Amino acid sequence: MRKAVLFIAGLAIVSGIAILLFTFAIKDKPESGRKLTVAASFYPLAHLAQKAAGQDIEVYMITPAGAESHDFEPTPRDIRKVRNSDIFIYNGAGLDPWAERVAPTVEQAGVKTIEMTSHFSLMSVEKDEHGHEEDGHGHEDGAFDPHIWLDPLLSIEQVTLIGEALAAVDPANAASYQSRSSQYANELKQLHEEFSKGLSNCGTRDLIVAHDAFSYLAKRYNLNIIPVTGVFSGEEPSPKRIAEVARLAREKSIRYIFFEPLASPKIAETIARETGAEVLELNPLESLTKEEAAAGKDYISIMRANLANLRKALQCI
Amino acid sequence: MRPEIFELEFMRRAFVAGLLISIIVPIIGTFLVVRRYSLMADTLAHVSLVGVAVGVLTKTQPVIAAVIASTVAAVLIERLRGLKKLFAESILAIFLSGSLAVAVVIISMAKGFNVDLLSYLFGSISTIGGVDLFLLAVLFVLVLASVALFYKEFFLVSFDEEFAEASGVKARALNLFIVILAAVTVSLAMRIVGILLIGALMVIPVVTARQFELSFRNTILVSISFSLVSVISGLFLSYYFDLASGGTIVLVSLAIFLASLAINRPE
Repeated sequence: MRKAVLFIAGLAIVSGIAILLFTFAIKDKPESGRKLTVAASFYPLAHLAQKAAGQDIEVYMITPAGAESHDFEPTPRDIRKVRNSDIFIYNGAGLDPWAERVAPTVEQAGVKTIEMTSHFSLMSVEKDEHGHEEDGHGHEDGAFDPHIWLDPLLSIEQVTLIGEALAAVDPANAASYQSRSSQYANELKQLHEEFSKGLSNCGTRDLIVAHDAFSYLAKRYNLNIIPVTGVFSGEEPSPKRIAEVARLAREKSIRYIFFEPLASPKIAETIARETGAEVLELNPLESLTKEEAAAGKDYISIMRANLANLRKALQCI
Repeated sequence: MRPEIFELEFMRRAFVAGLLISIIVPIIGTFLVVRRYSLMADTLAHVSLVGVAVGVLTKTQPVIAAVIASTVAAVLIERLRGLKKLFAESILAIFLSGSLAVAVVIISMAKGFNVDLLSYLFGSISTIGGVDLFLLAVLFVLVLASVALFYKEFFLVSFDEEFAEASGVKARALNLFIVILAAVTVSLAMRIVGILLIGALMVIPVVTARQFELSFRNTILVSISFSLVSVISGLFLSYYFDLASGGTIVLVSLAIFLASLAINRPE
């Protein structure tokens, strides 16, 4: 027993000293007189917040580049960042479950929290507009489609909301937040016009996507989405569903199957092989990979690339 | 001045839960390890996943569903073992992989939900709620009280079931009781270290303590000390270095195990 007690005492002393050192050595408390900080749960919101707030204001994007917001689990440091911010913006509706858990706690701590989807009337995913009745993918009671940022007009509303929130928290600079957000709203409006014009005259309006993220986009521009898997990415489609989609693709002689960069392109490739179609990228913008960020790509440029691919697949003139 | 780590509500909760778990888990673990039942913890943890999946599918409390699932499995495992037709090891293997199959199928039925499965598999200290803490506190009292009351019986049953039976101990009932306690402990502890790692926390500190060749009672006490050190320093390390908490805790306990191996080398 003596040996064991000595061993434990040694362990306790070593770890105790280490813990004390860390506790007093590491401090990243906000210094006084600091500027506003904003935390956003994932890329589109961080992007819009940065546009509305301007480059001087720090916007933390909690879900890091290249990570799936849906599977993301914040570390204690992330939560601390959220807590130490003035505004916390998250999407809700199941896209960022961690944020929905964290929000009540940080709100109590005095952070202004915005649940973006609560400001919009969401599309329900239980209703089945694609003519496949018996598959069970994602059609659960009360489930809503969270992918509102893929409609440029809804993004305009989002950036306006963020601008208003910034103005409310920091009234001294209200005018500049307002002008920045309306300036970006104009850029988004232009994007919207490019989409409506670019997709107005097409050979077909049917497109197959790997994951059902594009309903808002499709509704806005009158497209007919055939998703392979449900609204929440990361699901494996059943072989039955793959066969069904492949049959549809052949029937409608669809030439391109869309996949997304973060998910594995395997599902799209499988269907493409079955039908002799090719695969094309359609980015749901849930995240920006490090490469994309380094290449200076952003929401608008990727949406433009999406538009170009859509035009190619739908044979638009 | 309060150190920054304790300013966050969820970190305080994580520490309270961690302290409770690190005292209960090695007690249960000792009874399992001496009976060569180390895999029991892992098996019950996998069964908990069935409960989590059911909880998510039916939109009820996954933790409570996990407690129910693992308790039922514990009873079934003990029953099967009592029949003496199968090796205990084979029974555990069947439950471990079988429950995983059930869980995967249920999860595939629950498609479209926000199954934040990873937080159950690997633990997520940011999600410990008031209910979890309350349940843990109840379990803590229950485990300590029952070990204090039935220490001698537990001891006898763990080392020699037949002898215990002969000396008038209701071995089967006690066995069942230990296994049920293990089931509940595993399901409640999964929020901290996760389903895939709870087995490690239940076994490693005990195996470490057994290196010192102590009495049964002292083995329990020493293994509690090891698990306390592992959980506390694991939580601190994971906080300051931004690491996954469950994995960090288990790595610390592994480091302690290696250190004790080194100092207990046979001459």
